[in-house]
Amino acid sequence: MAKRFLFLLRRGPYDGLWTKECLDMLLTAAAFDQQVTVLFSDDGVFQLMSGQRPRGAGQRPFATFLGALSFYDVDALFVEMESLQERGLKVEQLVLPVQLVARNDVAALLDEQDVLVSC
Amino acid sequence: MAVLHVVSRSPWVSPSLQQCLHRARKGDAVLLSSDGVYAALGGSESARMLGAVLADGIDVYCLLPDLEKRGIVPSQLGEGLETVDYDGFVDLAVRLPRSCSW
Repeated sequence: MAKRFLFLLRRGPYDGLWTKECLDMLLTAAAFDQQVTVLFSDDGVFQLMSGQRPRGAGQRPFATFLGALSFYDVDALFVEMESLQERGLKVEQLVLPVQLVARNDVAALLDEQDVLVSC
Repeated sequence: MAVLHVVSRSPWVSPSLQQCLHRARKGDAVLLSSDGVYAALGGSESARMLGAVLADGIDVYCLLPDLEKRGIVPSQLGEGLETVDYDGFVDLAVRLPRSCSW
């Protein structure tokens, strides 16, 4: 039976391998037909910035990893509104279509899930 | 003699920027690198703090390749915050031979 998973991504895209590994878990869950929701908050919203151009050898813009989400039919993507506002960002600047959720409503979103994975 | 302060952590993850700004003084320069460049995003509280130290005679620079990596374009930076490339970083290090990492 499918469970409801929420992945809370709250680190910047170049702050170590945390998010990359969390995405691997996320895509695995999705590949096994679990119901997956993603919430970007805090520095996690920086993962969604368009125009990322890392120069280092072997480095790829983080957004290219996020492109896999739609391939796995993960389309429940939420961004915490206050995290964007605090960083001077607007939803139009993000690479994926997302739904905004207010900080006050995050608890309710977490409440709907069976499993929470946070990184 | 002035100091080059190098801040390399996000202001939302670490208090490094604030700790640095409390100790920098007139004539010093602050260089934002790595996740530290996020502090310069216009409209944020950290960009406002950086604007305030500019008025105190402390120059603030953002490392351009680190901005580009993160998808930040110079027009998104807070007012008065400048960018430097690697050559500019070297010039800063020559002009301010003492540096302090935060």
